[in-house]
Amino acid sequence: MAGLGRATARGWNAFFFTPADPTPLGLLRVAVGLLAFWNLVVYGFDLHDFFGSHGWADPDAVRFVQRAGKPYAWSFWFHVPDSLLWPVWAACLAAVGMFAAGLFSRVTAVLTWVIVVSTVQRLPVALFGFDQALSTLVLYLAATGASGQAVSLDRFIGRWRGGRADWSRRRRDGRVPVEPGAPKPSVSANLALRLIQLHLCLIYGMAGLAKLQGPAWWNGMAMWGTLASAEFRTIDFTWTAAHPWLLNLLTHGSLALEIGYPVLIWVRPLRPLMLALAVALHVGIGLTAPGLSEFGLAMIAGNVAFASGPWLRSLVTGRDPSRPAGKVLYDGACPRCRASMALVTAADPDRVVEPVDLTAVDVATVHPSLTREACLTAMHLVRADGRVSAGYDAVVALGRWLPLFWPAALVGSLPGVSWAGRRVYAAVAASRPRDVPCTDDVCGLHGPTRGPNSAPTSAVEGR
Amino acid sequence: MRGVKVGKFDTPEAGPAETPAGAWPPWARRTATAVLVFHIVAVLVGALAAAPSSPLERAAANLFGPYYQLIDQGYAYRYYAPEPGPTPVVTATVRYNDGRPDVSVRLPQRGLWPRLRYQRQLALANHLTADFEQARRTTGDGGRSVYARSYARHLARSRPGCATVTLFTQSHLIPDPARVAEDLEAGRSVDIDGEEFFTVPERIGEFPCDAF
Repeated sequence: MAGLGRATARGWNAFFFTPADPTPLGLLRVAVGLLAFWNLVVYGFDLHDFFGSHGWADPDAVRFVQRAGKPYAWSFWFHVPDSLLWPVWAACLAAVGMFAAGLFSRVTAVLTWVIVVSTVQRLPVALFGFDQALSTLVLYLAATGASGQAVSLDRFIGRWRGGRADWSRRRRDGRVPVEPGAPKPSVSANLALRLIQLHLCLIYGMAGLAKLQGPAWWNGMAMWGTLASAEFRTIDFTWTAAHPWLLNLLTHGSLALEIGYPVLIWVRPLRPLMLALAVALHVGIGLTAPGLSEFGLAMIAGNVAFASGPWLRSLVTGRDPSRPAGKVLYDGACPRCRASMALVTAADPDRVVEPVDLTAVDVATVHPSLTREACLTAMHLVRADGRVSAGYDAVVALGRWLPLFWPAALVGSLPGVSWAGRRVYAAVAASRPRDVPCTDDVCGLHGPTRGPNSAPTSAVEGR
Repeated sequence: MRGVKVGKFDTPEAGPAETPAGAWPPWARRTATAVLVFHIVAVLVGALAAAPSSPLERAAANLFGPYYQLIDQGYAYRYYAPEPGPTPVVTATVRYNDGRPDVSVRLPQRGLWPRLRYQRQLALANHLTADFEQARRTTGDGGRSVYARSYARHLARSRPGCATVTLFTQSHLIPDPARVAEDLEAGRSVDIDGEEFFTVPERIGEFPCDAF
């Protein structure tokens, strides 16, 4: 008996208290934050109809009902006068937006949870499954304080601040220590992931078991009820009535998935299959009932808790983490260029980019087509497959590799923007300062590199 | 990290081995364990206590009532159970005494975009219908529904000068698949929004606008 107790304790500790990679949690935070943001935006279309003192759910009526059945229910919306609804709504949007971006994430996660729960308690008449899923996921993200440990502005800023000092001074060998891109595993991230995993099992399991009470789930025609529900649909699925076997397959398949999920998701070889089926289920529900798309997206986001951090990062970094996607040749004698590299390395998910100080190496060894003069004119990016980009195009290509800069890269690659961007880049690169006067021991000891490929040694070189 | 073989879905136990720096001290693990056990039991009991359930399950859930209300948990997650049913639709007729024509309001309002707004209106109709039925069960008068009065008040306030607001509920039925299959086989199209697939509207109540 004592052995069983010890084994249980060991298993419990290993399950809940083993540090885990927070990358899935970071992605989950982004998805949940965006959904919470969208939810608020949509409420904004009818703000006074929902939250106003004369809205559908009169605050006095809601509180009257809650006093009888839910005396501990709370919501700050009850205390917001009509005249302040818009400012409070905007503040909520700002807090949830920061949470999605992972800015001040410990605080904004709690604020987002307060906003989500307050909204749910204020509007019990307007709820459906999406609100339950959202509230649950935000609860775990807020309670564990781990949501900003990866894929967040918090982490980017922390890495950038940590690396800024290293990048601020020039190194003779061109090697600047860079913090690894993979976030540190933590127990708090594991707790959040485990709780989300367990809660998903409960949701699918209860949804499946409860369906066993209904004859339509046994005779294989329940799915017809969802496909032919005219109030939910936007696409006509009545043609399925002519294919009862298809309806049977969909009915039995979705029921088997819901009942099997809580057990089979823990069987590692079956996990990808279960996740793919769960995604298919929610996509299918979204197609038949577009109003439930947000619910499906929240559930799909929850399923990210079962994906591994290294694999998720590999979707961005490539399958071979030992080989960077590209090398960036920057001017190590230019403070502005080093500051740019500090930003790039802080945003690098896991050694996607290898910065190379062109003043410390023979650039021809990086790529035979490169010349030092050309590299001093503009930043060069050498991809793993040997393709080379330069200047503004290299900046945009680099942005495409770093998730934080994806939106900027997308905008930057638009035709008019790239035309202007190339000119701005050329102007900035040509006027950049180089080799600032020596103010610290490092440059005083080593000085600029000399040799056949060394940088010019003038104190400040305008280009 | 490098050299550790990890699969796509091996999280979190396939992460790096536990390090003393990242591990929690025993007292923290014990405290967290107590909180975890409480929370997991609470969530499980909440899901089990929804009807149909045993008196034991309901009694256990009652113990966690304040906890559910504070953190918004205790849900049953019984989606589409026992099986998909008809959809409640609420209609309101707003009447004026000054010669203006009646205004009809439908919940959900067809064509509303984004679809999340439409889904919220579906929930409004669903909730009012459930509240109306409960009021009728408990008091014998569905018109005493708290939310019927609240909805009527909203409609009255947003339509100044109205005389009365009358609320109705009806069900949008799911057509019989065998009949639809027959129609399709015969080359007839099936309009599942047709009148035949709606129940007769049931009056919830009439509310004078000047009462609000």
